Amino acid sequence: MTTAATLTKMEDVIVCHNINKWYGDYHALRDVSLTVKAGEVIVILGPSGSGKSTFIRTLNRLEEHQSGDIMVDGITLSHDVRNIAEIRRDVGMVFQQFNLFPHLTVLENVTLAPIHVRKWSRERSEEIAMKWLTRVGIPEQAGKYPGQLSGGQQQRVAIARTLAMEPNILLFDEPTSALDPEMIKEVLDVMRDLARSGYTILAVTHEMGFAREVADRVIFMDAGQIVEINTPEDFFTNPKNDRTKLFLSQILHH
Amino acid sequence: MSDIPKPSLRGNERIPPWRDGRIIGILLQIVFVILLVLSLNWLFTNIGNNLDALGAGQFSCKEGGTSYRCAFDFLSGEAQFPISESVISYDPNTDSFWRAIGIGVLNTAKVAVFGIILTTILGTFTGIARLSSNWLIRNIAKWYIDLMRNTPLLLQLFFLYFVIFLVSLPSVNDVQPILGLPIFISQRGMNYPSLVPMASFATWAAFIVLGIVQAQLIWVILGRREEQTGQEASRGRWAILSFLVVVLIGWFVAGNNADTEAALVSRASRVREIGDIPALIERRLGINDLSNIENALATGALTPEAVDEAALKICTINESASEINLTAQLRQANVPFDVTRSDRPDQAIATYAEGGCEIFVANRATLAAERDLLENSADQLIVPLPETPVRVSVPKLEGFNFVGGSKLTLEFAAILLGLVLYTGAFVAEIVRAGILSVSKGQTEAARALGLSETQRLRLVVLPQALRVIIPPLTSQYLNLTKNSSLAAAVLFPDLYRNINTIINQSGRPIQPIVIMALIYLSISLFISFFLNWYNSKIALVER
Repeated sequence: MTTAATLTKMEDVIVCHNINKWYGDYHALRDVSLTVKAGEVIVILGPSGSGKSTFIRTLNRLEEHQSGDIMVDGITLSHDVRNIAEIRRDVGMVFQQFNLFPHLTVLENVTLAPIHVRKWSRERSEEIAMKWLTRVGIPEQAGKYPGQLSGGQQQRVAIARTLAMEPNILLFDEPTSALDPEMIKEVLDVMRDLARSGYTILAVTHEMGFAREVADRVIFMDAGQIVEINTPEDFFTNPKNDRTKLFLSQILHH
Repeated sequence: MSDIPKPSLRGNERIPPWRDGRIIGILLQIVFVILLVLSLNWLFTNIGNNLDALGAGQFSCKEGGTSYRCAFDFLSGEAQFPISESVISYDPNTDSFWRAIGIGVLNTAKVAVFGIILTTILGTFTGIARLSSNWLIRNIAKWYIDLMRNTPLLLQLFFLYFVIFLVSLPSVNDVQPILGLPIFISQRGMNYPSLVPMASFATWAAFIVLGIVQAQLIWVILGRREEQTGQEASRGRWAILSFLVVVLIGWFVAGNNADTEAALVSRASRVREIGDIPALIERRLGINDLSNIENALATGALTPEAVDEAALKICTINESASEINLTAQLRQANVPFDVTRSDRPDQAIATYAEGGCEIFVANRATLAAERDLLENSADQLIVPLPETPVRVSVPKLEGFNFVGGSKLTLEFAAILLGLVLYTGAFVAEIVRAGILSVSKGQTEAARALGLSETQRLRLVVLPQALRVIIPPLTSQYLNLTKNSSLAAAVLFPDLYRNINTIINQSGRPIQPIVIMALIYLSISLFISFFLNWYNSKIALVER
């Protein structure tokens, strides 16, 4: 039997083998297998309820998978809380609803995990935080509270908060879906910038332009299964699977 | 286009007054004011009539043959009733009703302050436990909450005091130390060791202040260096270390330079310093090491009577620090001793002169003054005794009572524990609701960032839950404070119980009740104001 361990090579940072997940009777993930190489940018598409969010959330244990093997950065994801903690330090996640901590200032949001998880000094953490806030274009908002920022600004703070932990892998869970149209661009610009900086990225998104432009591979999921894995050009111009064709015809012709 | 009908306008005619919202509002207010005036009038007329019926005695004082109107003068009279425990001194024969009220306020405040602190701790942990993923913890918390919420508080207090405490605790004769420590829990309450400051404590306190200042300085200086060099200087460690060194030096400096503590002994006793005492007792007992007393008693080589006979007989003044200073050192050297206490120095010296004891401990000035009153004062030596800034006072059963140490009475324990257990259940539910009010996304973000479960609670969830928790928590704090008046049921002399006694004693109910109402009102308002201020301070900043 092939296990995740035997499939792992040096450059494979994420290896999933036959992951299954149920919510009660509902089979949310069915035998999902995927290997991601370091620096790869992967965009996951699919209709709602297809399990794309559930899939990337199993990678940092926000959701528990019930069978199959997951290996992230060479660490097996199991019930071992030390492994989980180690993986979470290396894997950053950006959420649809930003999930900033409303009782902390922008700077405190970004430095919280570096100080308490990485155990870096406050000075060093603040330096790193300001570096990332500058990178996402909002260093001047550091002293404000999340409630005082626009949605786009909040999502950029959330990205800076994730990056301040200096992760290798970034998970984006529909990062632009809760934004007003005019703010989507500012967040996508940051994501494009990151995709070109060598991070390994798995992004669940509905932004086809983003997928076409920066993805190395596009994955299409339906009913808890990976239906198609393809290059962006082939995926959009020459989809193999019937379900993919239907999906693309629905989103591209309206 | 012209066949579109003109929209008909409705509701633009003059508004009749019975439909005018402004007029309705004003009318309602007028009706309310009239009703209020009528009810107050009725109330005050009744109070006046009833007071007249009670007789003029309620509000009059007599002096000689003349009487005059007065309200609160009688409260300056002697209280003449005992109060079982008090934070300040109290003598029923000389102290006034006012002081009895003051003691009640202090006792109520003591219950409220400790109650609020303990309730907060218990409620927070139980609230968190209620949401635990562990089945056992979750259900224990649930059962505790349901048991407490669904039975009356008064019943719980009675049960705690009369069933659990008075029936299940050992009587004072059978009491055993707990875990070999000098802690005794009996039907009299809990007696435990206490720390007593000596005369040199002030000097030591100055060193402590110095230590804090120095630690601050080191913290700041190392912080600057850290900024300059960019290297961590572990300033926390150095600050704490420097503080401890200063405090330790202060302990010895203060103790060695103190010369207030002394003892009066006869020249014939051959005791010239405290170190001579063990040898003296050893000679009397005929053994060469006092640490063998236990063994000798066990094997029968010594009888308890012989040990009592040989014990060092000490005279001292009631509640003096000198006694604690000496006995703490004797206990360390395993010297058996026997203390006779007097109320005043002259009584103590009289006992000493009559041979009732062989050593009289007090401060040097008292001893010098008293020695001069003795006939054979030249044969009496004042020997200095070592002192440390703080000594441990240990409870010891003498007859049917404990002497020394501190005491937690059953009455206080019952009302405190009862209120904490009861209110804690409500606070737990408030904390649970508060935690649940924080969105799941916050937990997910905290986890995704790698925060541990305790960090998640402490840094992310609880600070946000606090905003939801504070307003209902204020109500629970007020409930606890006001419910402390049930202390009367378990015989704890709180404000309510003392006021009640005063009413019975004086036969004048109105003034004490007004005073009591005002005091409870002030305490409650203070708590509300404080928590409202705190709540506004931690409010979320929105756009």
